[in-house]
Amino acid sequence: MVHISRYILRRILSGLITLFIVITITFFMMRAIPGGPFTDEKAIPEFVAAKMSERYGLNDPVHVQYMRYLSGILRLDLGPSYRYEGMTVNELIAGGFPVSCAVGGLALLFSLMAGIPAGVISALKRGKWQDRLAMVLATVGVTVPSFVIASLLVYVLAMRLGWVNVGFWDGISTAWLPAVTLALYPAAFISRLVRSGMLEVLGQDYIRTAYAKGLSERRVIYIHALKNAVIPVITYLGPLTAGILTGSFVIEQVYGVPGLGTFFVTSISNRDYTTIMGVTIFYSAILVAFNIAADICLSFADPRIKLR
Amino acid sequence: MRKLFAFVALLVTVSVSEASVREIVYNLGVDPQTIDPAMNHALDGAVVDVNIFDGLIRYDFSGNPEPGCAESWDVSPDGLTWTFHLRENLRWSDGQPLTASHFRDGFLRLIDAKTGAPYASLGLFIKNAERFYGGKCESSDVGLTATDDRTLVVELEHVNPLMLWYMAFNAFYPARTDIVSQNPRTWSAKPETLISNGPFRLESWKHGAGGEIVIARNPHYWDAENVKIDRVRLVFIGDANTALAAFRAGRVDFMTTVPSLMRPLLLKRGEAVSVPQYYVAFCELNVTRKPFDDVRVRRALSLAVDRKVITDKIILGGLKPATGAIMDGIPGRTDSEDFRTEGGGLIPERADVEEARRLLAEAGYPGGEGFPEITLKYASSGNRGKTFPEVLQGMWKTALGIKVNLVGEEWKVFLSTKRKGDFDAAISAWVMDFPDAAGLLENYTTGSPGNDVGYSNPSFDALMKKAGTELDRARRTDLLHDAERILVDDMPIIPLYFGSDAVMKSERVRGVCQFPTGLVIFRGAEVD
Repeated sequence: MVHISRYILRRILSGLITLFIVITITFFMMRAIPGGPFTDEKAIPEFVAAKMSERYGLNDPVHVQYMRYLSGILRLDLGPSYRYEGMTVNELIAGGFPVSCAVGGLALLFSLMAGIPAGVISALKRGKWQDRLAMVLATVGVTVPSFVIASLLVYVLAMRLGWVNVGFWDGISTAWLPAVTLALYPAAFISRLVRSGMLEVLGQDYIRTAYAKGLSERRVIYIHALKNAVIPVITYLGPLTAGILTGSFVIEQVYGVPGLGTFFVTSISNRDYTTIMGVTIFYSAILVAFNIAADICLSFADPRIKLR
Repeated sequence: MRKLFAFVALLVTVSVSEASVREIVYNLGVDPQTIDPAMNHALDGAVVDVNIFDGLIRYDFSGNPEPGCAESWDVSPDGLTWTFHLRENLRWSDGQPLTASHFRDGFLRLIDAKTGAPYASLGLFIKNAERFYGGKCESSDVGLTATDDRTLVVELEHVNPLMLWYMAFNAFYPARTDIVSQNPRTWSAKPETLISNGPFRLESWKHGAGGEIVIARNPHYWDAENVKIDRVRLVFIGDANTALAAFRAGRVDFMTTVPSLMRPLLLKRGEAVSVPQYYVAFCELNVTRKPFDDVRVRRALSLAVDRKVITDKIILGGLKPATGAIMDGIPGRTDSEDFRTEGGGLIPERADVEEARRLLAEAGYPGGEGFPEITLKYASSGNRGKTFPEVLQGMWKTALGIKVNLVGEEWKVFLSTKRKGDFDAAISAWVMDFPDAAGLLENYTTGSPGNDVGYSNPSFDALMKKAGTELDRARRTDLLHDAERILVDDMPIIPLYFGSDAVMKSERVRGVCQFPTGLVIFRGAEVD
């Protein structure tokens, strides 16, 4: 147990260094984009623009702003948003993350529920129609961009059939359609991972032994084979969970979900510097955390893997 | 059993009270940056402000100024002193009395450099405002005096022909310094601290893609008895197709966010109606660069464009060829006259290719020979798309034999490089804040912050300067007509088309007023 906690500690430390590098690169890169938070179609006189920048400390030298920002982060203060007057970035994240989490959590569930069985079936029925069908669906799921699928679903389910309401967030009851759309890509990806993992495992000696011992097919496949076939999925789950829980711009725009994903895109187009930094740091931290978690899970699932 | 009855009774009352809430859902489309009246500089924020605040002057249902918090006013003969008389018993939405000094505080916030208001320069007509902004005098030296609770005297630096319009504009709303000074940055973001004085008050604000601002009837408003609805939900559905689906499902009552590709069809079917907008699209030419420094080249480029083809064949849905720089609907010498009609057609609707070629040859480029390759910039992430620049590219190539490269840039990159003068030609547009021709024209005075094209003409500047202080409506309008003619002759911008808005409105809603400035007013709305 001691070596696990030491391992986690070391990973957290290296995660913090990663975060620091991410913060630094993002901070200076976003300043290099032309235009600022107050660039607007209706030109603002120079002397007024100067006063507006002063209000947010944007007239100070960039390295001063950088140090000020770092000291804010140490206090977990991500600063005021330039785009949403009166809101802090902490408030924006606190408002959007629970919603993204609900939709993303549901999507994660859907993608595992659809992806793993689909992968198992296509491995067992290799080359048969079931396998081909799963292949076609997976190809569609991976290649068709989510904005196409989302718009299509809105057109058919909301506009033509009138079965669902879109554009309004009424809590978890409105979450399922965005969640399904969000789940398509990972479900397809997971099904392919499981299929190839399964095919590899099924050819191994211990499976033959299991059959020879007279275990039922079901037991062999679902207990002995699947356990090892899903190991690649666990590795994939780390970044996937981090990505899916922090929301998707396209899905949120199309269905009207007040999540976090929108801010990843609009903060850049608004040059909302503090929000760009805030969501980037938040996402990076979650990504680091889930990668650590995935590696730990992996060490339990696969005894060959040692945590060092 | 009794419990069950009680429960059913409760259900019935709940559902009845739900049903009796007279509510309108309007798609604002964007989550506003701010609704602090002094800080706002966008249309979305202005739509919220105009419904929750009330200036000394307010808009009537046709969009003209009428008495708001001020029931009357006197103007000195020189036009430099305005005395506003406030109504009796004015109150804020928290029940506190509203006095003339609150208006003084609101105006002072605008012109106080510490506020950092984007529209601060709008207030510089007030006496000593510029010195106050620069920190060169005290607020007591500014020409704003509340002589008693119901009288505000405004002294002017120079006469302001648009005084009444300004007084109805969100930059000139009253302020509660007791609240603002405690939470200078956050007061306008939270319903607890956003105390307002208009027909509605802020009830809630949820940020993000599926968010909304809810405004509720303000019982303390002086004209509250004429407000016939309880609530307006201003939702932020950004995706136009989703908005359409929500409208068809009956969840949105009123919207202007119509999917652009479906617009012609929806207009034809009568599902959407076209409403006028003070919108003109144009092409800016950088007159500081060759070959655009030659007026013959600029005129040739304008004459080679067939505006009728653009509006009737390419960008469909309620547009009109631009026959001048100022769009239709702007009042002229009197309220009943139209600026554009008075000015007449300054630009032909159809292309005059022959004349365009002649001018280009005269400038030294016969048949486009020797004409440098030029770059036409447009905002790729804006809503205007690539079709339009491609059409211009094609028309110029066919008519004049010149080669145009198209460069699409992200919205703020586009704006900031254009502002630095780093462009040959760029696609642009303008929407008027006030129904006044000067709003667009003054961008092209020498050194104006909006003058990205680098245009400078002393006689144009002189006319604009004169119009800025001319109080006689007819004389001022004539000056603006002269200025427009110079601008169109010099052609630093090539006006292309006049825009309009497509509105979708459910049948249960009446009396929502949408003005050509884009403002929407719910004060007179009713629902079935």
